[in-house]
Amino acid sequence: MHLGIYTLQETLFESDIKQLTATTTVGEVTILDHHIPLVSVLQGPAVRLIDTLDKESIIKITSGFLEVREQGEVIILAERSQ
Amino acid sequence: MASAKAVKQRIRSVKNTAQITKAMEVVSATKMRRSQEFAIKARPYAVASLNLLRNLVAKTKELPGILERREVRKCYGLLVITSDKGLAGALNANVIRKAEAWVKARRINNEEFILVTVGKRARDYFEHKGVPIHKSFWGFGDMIELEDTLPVAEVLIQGFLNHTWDELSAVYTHFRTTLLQEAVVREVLPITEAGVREIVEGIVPEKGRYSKKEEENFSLAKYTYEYTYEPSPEVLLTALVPQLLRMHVHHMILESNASEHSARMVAMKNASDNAKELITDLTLTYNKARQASITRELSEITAGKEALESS
Repeated sequence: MHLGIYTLQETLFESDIKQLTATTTVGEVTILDHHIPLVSVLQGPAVRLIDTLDKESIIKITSGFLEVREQGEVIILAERSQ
Repeated sequence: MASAKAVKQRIRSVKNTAQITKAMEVVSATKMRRSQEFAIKARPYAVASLNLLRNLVAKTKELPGILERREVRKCYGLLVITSDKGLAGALNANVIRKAEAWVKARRINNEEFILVTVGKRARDYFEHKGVPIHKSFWGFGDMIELEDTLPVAEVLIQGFLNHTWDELSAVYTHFRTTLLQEAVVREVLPITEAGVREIVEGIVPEKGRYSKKEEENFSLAKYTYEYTYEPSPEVLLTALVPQLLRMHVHHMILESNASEHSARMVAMKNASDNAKELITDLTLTYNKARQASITRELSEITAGKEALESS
């Protein structure tokens, strides 16, 4: 699936990934391929993702919105304090 | 004819002016490029959040206060965005003219209205005219962050929720191309779908380096499937909508800023060109004056010599 993490200042991440774990206001979600369309509010401190080379990376955010679209497209509208 | 010395002095002063305008032109060109780049970077975020909003609005029955369309509109608000500094051609004059037209329309209909101003130009003008101002902001730099414009958005939201205004429009300079900026009036509050679409369309300059359209990626027609909402569409909307307005206000200020620099660049280029022309004219005048004095002196000498010889 394709993940894009955007803030107002810059694009933090934009690439294909295998797995994404994020904390929403109601708990932690892990998103894999073929996830149902979902909209949720995210909390900090970070989201964890595993890319297609099985490398794990952590991207810091303070808050944001998560949107999972039908064709494996994941968008995170993030805010982060400098 | 002016004396050669006086003309020479003028040439020097015009040259100085030309140097300053040239420098301002170059500075503005750089700043413009930067502020355009800045506006472009915010674009994926803007488009994605607007898409999300549209989708949420379609799915929600209970709209939060900020999306409410009020039947009875008692007071109208107008956000006027100008620059702090002048020397930018007709930029601020155009914005103020639009704002004046808006004020006039309210007066004719006997409607109450109040302004919120951004930039010293707007504040000075409307204060002088005695138009009611709710709040003034100024001193935004060129590299403004979202945090800097937050207070403006906060005031707009609070004013709407407190019924200080039941509808809010904004006049700002829409950056169309480097050579073309246009003062436009846009409805800001309540947030509507048409308004949202306008924002997306306005986010990118029409021509030039940053104008590439990636519409396929951000197509608005994709939302045919059902979403799961966590916690609920209402909660999401309440969080997203103010964020969206903040972004909108931020964007309008950014765009006005980019326009300011482009307008100044063009104005300064014209000034430099005029100065150059003036220098050419003055140099010609100076040379003529110099030649005239040489001719006069020569003829005096010749006359003196002839007078001596004939005596």
